[in-house]
Amino acid sequence: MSLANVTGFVRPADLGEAFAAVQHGAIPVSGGTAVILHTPSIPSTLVDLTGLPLSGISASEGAFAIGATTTLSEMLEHPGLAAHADGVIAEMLAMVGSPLLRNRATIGGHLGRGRLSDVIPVLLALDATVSWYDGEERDEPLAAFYAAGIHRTPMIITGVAIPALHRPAAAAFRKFSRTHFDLAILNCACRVSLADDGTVHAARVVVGETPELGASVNDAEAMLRGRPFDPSAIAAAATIAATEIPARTDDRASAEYRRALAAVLVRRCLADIASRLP
Amino acid sequence: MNVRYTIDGVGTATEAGPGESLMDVLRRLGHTSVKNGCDRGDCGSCAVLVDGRAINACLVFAVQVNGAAIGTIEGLARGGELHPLQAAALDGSAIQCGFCTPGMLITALDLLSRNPEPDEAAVRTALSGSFCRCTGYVKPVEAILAAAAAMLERRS
Amino acid sequence: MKDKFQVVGTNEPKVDGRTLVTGKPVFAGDVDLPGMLHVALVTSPMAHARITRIDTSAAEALDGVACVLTHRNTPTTRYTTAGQGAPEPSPYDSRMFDTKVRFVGDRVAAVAADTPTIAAQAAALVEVEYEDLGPVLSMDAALAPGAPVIHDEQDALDIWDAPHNIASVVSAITGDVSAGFDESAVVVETTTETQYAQHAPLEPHVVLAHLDGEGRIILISSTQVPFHVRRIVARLLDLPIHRIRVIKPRLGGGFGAKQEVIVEDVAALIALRTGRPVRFEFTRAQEFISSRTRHPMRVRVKLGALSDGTIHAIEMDVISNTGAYGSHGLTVMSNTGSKTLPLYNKAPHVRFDGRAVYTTMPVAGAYRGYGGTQGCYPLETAMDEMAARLGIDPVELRVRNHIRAGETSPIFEELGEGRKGTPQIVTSCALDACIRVGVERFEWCRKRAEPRGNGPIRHGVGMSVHMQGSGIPLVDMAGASIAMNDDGSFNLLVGATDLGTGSDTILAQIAAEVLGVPVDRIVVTSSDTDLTPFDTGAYASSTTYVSGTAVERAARDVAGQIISVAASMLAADPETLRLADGRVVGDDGRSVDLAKIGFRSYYGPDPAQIAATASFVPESSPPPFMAAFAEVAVDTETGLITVVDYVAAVDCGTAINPRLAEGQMEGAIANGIGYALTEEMQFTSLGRVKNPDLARYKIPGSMDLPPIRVYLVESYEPTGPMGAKSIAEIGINGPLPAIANAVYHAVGVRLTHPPFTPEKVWRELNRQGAAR
Repeated sequence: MSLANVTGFVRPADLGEAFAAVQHGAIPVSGGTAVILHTPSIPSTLVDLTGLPLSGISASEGAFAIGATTTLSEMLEHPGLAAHADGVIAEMLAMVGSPLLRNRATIGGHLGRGRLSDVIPVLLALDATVSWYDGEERDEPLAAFYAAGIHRTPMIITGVAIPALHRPAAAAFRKFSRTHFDLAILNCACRVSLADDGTVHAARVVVGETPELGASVNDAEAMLRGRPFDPSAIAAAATIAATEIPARTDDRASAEYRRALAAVLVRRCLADIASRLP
Repeated sequence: MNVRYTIDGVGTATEAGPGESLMDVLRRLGHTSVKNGCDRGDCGSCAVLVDGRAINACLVFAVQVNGAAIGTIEGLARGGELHPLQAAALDGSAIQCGFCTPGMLITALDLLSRNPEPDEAAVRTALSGSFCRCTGYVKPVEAILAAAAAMLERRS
Repeated sequence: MKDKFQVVGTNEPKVDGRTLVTGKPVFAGDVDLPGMLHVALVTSPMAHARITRIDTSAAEALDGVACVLTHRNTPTTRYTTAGQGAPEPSPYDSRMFDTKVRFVGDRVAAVAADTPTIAAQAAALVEVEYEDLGPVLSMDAALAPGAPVIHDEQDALDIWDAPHNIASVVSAITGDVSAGFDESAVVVETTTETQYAQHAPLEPHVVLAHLDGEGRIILISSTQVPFHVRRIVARLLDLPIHRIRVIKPRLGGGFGAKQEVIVEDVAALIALRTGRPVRFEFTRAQEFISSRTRHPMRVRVKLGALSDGTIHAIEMDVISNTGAYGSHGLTVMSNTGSKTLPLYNKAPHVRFDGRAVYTTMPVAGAYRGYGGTQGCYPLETAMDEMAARLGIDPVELRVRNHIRAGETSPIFEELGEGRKGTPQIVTSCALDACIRVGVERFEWCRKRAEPRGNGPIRHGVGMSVHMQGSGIPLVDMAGASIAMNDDGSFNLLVGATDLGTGSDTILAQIAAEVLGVPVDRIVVTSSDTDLTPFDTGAYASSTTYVSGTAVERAARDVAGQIISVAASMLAADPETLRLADGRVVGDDGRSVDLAKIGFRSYYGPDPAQIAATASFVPESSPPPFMAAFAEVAVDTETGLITVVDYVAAVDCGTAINPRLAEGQMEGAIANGIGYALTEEMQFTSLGRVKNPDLARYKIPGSMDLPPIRVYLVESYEPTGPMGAKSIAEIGINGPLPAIANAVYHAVGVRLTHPPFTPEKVWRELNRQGAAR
């Protein structure tokens, strides 16, 4: 939609110029698919990030660095990324929005919005790191970034990094929504790596759209660590998730239903992982 | 602000407001095949190609894609001969009201440019952001598959 | 029978198809006129309130504002927005702009300005104060003693009982139902409650109004009912009908929403006041809130059967929520019975009672299926339950009871559209064949016998049978004119309104068949009140049957004229001549080209226009019939229902254009699946629509549907054009009962409150203890 109250549009020469504009109240625009839906309350200028050298995916020894203005379609179509972590990134991206949206929406824009996300739970489960510029280049694990609410301060997200997955490890993702092209009622992303003795070395159990932004179910992760990864562990993790998630009622689902779904999705994700592990 | 596009192969210069959507600019320029079904990226009726990729024109700031090559359904037929996608839609009774047809064919064009031999699942995935209320997608999906086959045959 | 047809029965590409696939500017919203104004609507933020003050001065003072309409400067005539034949069977309870608002989204003012932005800015400057009269947000609240009176105006007409918020009532009875239930071996009862649902055509309502050189109002409108628009707008604006011309260009879907006159009056008045062209288009949000919806209904069905499985008594009680205004309230509710009850005509005892209730909620109106959708759901659920109680296969119970060709039902006479009906014998019925084909293609017997699974995912199959109608007997009228050109081609002029269905194409096929020419020799002009003959419009599944017959009649008349000219050219007996392959051919093998005849008709000898106009008023409404089959997988842990397979076998008489007929079915089924599973308007406690967009109101996308398999089972309807019946609506009726019955088969739970969202099903599974 065309926005009233947008009075200017600037193409910065570099990150510094872009950040200066943002500091002065300009709205950073990458794909623009989210920005264009909300008329600013005061006259505002847009600052276009797509001219900055922030686009592209580089892979190195199983790890990936993704520039902020890379579109979700570019991520989905990147063979290396699509194969990473049992294909969980591609599987998830194929359920995000529609192809028309993914062709335009960028990972940086999505992370900057920091809500209504299937992407973030998967990135959290994969221990991704986000980088940004706020006068200097910074980076931080994605979990800490959102926990601290940093994304709400003036900044320009520059990219996200996904570390290599050290085998034996596996990941899985589940999304539950009313239709295919829809926000999730609940989603779940998990990753489990095994120690030499076959017990769980590390686990991520992330539940999103509770309807809060995805976050680790800490007690489930802690409980799994050091245990054999067996059906009783999986059932226990599912039960913990149902209790621990910050479930809330909104127009999409009740808190009670979300808790029930959390148990099911966590159990199914972990069962998927069990079937993928050696 | 001044913007220039190549629309369906023809260079065009126009004025666009900084907050204006590409859909509104294209419709104002007379490219009314770009349909406004929802104005918020939900329906796909305004899909156009921007540098080869299908996007919702209502979700793109016009000034941001200054200089881009834009493709609409209006530029598909060559010298009166329908593009295979158009011909398949027509011959396969895939059009009812025809309001979603331009966006759907543009979306299909993007698909076929990257995946010339899609299966039904790939076509349905590609159309997942292009709503149709008339057809139940049955005949549009058939038509896109038929067009893909026709295009492959033409190439070989 | 159909073997003798050349053009009818073939999959002709749509006559407007090329225009549409090349993206030509042919929709009402595609046309810009110089100096055109744009309209922004001011709508009510209150569900039920009196406007105590309205100040438009700030809006009018804004640069670029041409006109502001409110209740203070617009006609006060009471009317109905329902685009029905005159006199409309809907109460006259609306005004263009009223002093009272009756739902959140009701019209308060309209602003016309140079640009959409200015219009929106000006709309925000209209100051309105309201006196809250208390929202009435459910049928129960509306019927409660002491409920606020929604229509307390003195000048409304034909409201049944305004003080008690009852817009309309209807009833029909045959036999003695209480005796009938006493005589029954098994009695079952089902109550269902359906939701607020919206048509969601991809093109929102849009109209362009301007004045021609003579000051006549030209309306280019996305309407299903151009002639009704002309009549209703003329009455509202107190103009002679001939001062208005309505043109329906290509239309981006309607499904009943565009059988309502809800934008044309405003645009026409602004054009008249300002002398400038004006476009009024709904935003998607307005399309949800201020357009029309399907009537939510609570329907109780009670069935009694003899021990041999014969349905002996049927009772149907309907309470229908017509929202703030009674548009289509009476007739939709009538059809809830009249398009369902005749199906089981073995029952001598049948009673139907309906009440349409006002609430301060969005206005219900015509929506594909038109009440039949809400009625067949509890009926077919009750039939499924009856089969279970009797220990009979659900298919077999239908076979034992359904109506057949040569039979009638007293309901045809007792219950029409808001009045007594018309007695009618069913002259074609291939429902037996539909059931047989459906059972085979769906593999009903195998799937029904298969284990339902013992993991979290349970499988089940269900079915239902359906009837609808083809037009409204003794009410609908369609006209058609055909004139021959000097190259032997023809102009076909029809009032019929192609809303994307392909009616222009199939009407051309009917004409071409009679005239012995290919379709490309027929130039179709439709839906222009200046040029084309009258047609009641595109609703009630009328076009193929009613308009098609008018076309067939006009074509036969023209064919006769052509043959008589040819007879004199060939010096042959007209009885020995026939039209074929673009020629008049004699039994003796001699022939003459139609181009020669056309040329001669213009330039002699003895030039005379070969042309005819014909019309048709049906005496019956031959029902199409359908058997629907659904296979579902129910995730008992999450409540998610996945439709795995869907088959519909439909008796459409002769399919004039089989693929277009299939398309009608496929689209209607998709819409019906959305209605069953995901589509629902949600409201706040103050009556505001919470989800007025396609992100939150979930219509099915390409990934959300099962394989939809449609089989056309042809019969021959002797009263129809080339044996055809209409099937625009019937397809939408199947999914709700077939899916609900399949879910019952899978998990033993009866679902009575669509949409069957996962959370709702999960709760039902837990409540009914069937989850394990």
